[in-house]
Amino acid sequence: MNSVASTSLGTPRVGPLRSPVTAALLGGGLIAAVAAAWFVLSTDGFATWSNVKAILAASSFIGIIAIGQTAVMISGNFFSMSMGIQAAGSAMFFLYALKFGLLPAILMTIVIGAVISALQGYTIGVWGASPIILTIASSSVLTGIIVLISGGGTVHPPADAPSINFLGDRVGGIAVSAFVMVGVAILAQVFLSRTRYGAVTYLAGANRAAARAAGLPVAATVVVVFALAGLCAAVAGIMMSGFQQTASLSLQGTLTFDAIAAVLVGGCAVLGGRGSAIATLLGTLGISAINSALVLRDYSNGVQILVKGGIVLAAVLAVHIWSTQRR
Amino acid sequence: MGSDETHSGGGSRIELSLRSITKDFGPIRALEDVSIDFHGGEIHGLCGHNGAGKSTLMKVMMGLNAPERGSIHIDGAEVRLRNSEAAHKAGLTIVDQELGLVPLLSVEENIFLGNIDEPFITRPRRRRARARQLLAEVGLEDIDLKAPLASLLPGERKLVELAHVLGHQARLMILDEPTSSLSHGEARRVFAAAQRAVANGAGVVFVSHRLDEVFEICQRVSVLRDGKLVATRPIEEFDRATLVEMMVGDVEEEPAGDVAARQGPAIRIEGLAVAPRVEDLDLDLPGGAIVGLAGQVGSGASDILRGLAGLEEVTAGELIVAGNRVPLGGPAKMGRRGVHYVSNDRKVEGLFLDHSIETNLTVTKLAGLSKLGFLSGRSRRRAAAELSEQIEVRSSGLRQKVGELSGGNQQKVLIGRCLGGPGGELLLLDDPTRGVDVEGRAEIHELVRQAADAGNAVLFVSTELDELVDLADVVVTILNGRIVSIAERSEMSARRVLGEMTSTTEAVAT
Repeated sequence: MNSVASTSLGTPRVGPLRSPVTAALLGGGLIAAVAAAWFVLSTDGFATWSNVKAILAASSFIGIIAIGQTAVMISGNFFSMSMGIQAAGSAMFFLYALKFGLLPAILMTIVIGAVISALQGYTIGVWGASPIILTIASSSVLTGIIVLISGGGTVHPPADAPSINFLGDRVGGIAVSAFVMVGVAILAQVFLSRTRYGAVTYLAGANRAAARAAGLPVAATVVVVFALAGLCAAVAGIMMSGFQQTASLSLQGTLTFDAIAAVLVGGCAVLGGRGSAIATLLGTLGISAINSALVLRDYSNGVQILVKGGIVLAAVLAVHIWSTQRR
Repeated sequence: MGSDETHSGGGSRIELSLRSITKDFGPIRALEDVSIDFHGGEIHGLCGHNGAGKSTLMKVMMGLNAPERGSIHIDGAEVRLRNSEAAHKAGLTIVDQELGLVPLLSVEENIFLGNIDEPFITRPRRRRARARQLLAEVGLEDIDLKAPLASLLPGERKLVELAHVLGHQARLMILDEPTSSLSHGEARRVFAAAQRAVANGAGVVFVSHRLDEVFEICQRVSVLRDGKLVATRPIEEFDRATLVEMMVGDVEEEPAGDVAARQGPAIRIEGLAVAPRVEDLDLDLPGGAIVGLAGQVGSGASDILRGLAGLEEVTAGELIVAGNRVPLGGPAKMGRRGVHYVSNDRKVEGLFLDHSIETNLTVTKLAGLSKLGFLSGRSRRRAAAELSEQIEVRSSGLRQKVGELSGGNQQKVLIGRCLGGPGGELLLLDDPTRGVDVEGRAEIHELVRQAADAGNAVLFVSTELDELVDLADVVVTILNGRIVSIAERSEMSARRVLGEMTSTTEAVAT
């Protein structure tokens, strides 16, 4: 509005507690966080090894998808709404492809998943399509294709297929899928913080116009992060089919939204530029832990969903307040 | 809606006095002790170069900037304009450079946009009659009231905006560069409308870079320079030369670089077309020279840079650097081909304010700082440390966020990221010292000279005369997307450049 003032002055540093309202909000948030921790930890049967294992297993599929979503969100493209259907489709394709052998099936599923998502990324990054609308449309198209091919039924592994029991197995009592989740998180974090495309992911999310003007490969980066998200959805699909031994469209459940919730609770900035795969992992586990405490305390399904929604809302508000304070 | 017969002028002629207005923006004094009287029934020209304080003065009059000192008097009584609504109530209105109306609404709806005096229940026939009357006042008798504004010619849109302002009982209208996007004939109609409003008793403040127009329609002229009023005089007491001299003032010269010693590549641009303004532009520039494109906002000078940087679509044209054709493409491709662009808006399109100095200094060099796609933190730190030493940025360290730096230091970081390359690159700098104080400006100019000394070609755009005279070895003046003149440093003066930038009659390139 005022060009002279806004360009000639440096931004003054502002303390974290600028106004009484935000101070009260932050204080209230802190108290709520402590209360939630106490509520969770004091739950009978929560702090047991078997419950921790259950939490890890329960969160692993959502966690793997959420890690892919994290890269999309950091790049400033909100999130992909087609993750659930891609995970379910990957699971179905994987079981079908087992007839070519285990390793080929894994590779084919991952490559196809990444390519389908990369195509969406191309439309978004190069043609400037809106990420949310495009991925919702893609989700419909993919559902149609899958129903067309599978007839809407359940896919079972072929009779002579190699065993995939190990995917749903436990090592040292911990689900294999939990190890995979941690591995994917570490790899994604290395991508984000150690590679050139990772650096561009943050920069494009922080200021897309500036990234473009600096000659950074913004469009290519959008393709890469979407490919990464598709890859993660494919991995989640493979792990789910190993766990279930069958696969159908119903596998997608609320995966898309649960993953977005995990990314937000992990503190990722909705508009991009900030976030990390490790934080998303912690966000996933946090949601899972609170959910587990609610289950152990016999709260109804409605309460569980309500609390989950409240957590996401609080996380989004907290990130928003924190980021506006820093400006 | 008050009386229907007298509208503009509101009955009596306005006497608006600004007395000793001083306005600071942080350390920068935008206006100092400015006193001007504006009268109803006359067109008062406001001249001054970029940064002279015209915009700030207009904002003070429209209640958008509160002055630190000084007072505003209307008809002898002091008024406080706390916001734009207060200014509107006092009868002060502005027709902005940009369209202030809604393109998708009809002419009639636009005329009554935001008209608080309208009765609660509108009477369509009366409203139409009133719209017709207002449009007749600006010379738009035969226009379709139901036509969407977007379907009108640019000049007609401007006239509708004038009618809109008249409908708001304006006693004093500020016309900010009203003809900047209009053709000659359209500008005539705007002048006629302004003159008619003045005949009805309204006052008009006419702000324009086009001095020919100032001489044509103004009765009195005030000249601002560096935030101070140089003079207010009747137009008869000015001629073009004295006016330009008052706007320019004394220009202190910076030392010229040694063009002959520089190894920078020669640049040729052939048949460049960048929609909508630039068409079939040819430019042949010697190696080693820092080339300044002189042009007002909207002249097309910025579009040339943005086209070459891949940020605007180039419909035709070739870029030849040191005899080699460089294919034009998107910004990432141009970056790989050694073409670096610095935006004139460092906050929106330049820096990553939330990121560190280190990150910002190395964004254009990421490819060179990584191996197999992995970034080397150590080489990145080293590259940033070297650059930051060269540009002498005042900070608490490389990790400090760029958003916390002063404007001048931010701009140094933005320019700094173009330095330290292998040489032979083309740097495109759009208004490289916008919003930077005098001291920071000289430092940034020195950085640009260093870049040229390091064997790069530099092409910059500036709307500021001093900058062109100080920094450019060759000045190319652009008007309406065309080259008006090319001048070497030795044969150039601020006066000559300003004369050419502000002329409406186009000379042919020599």
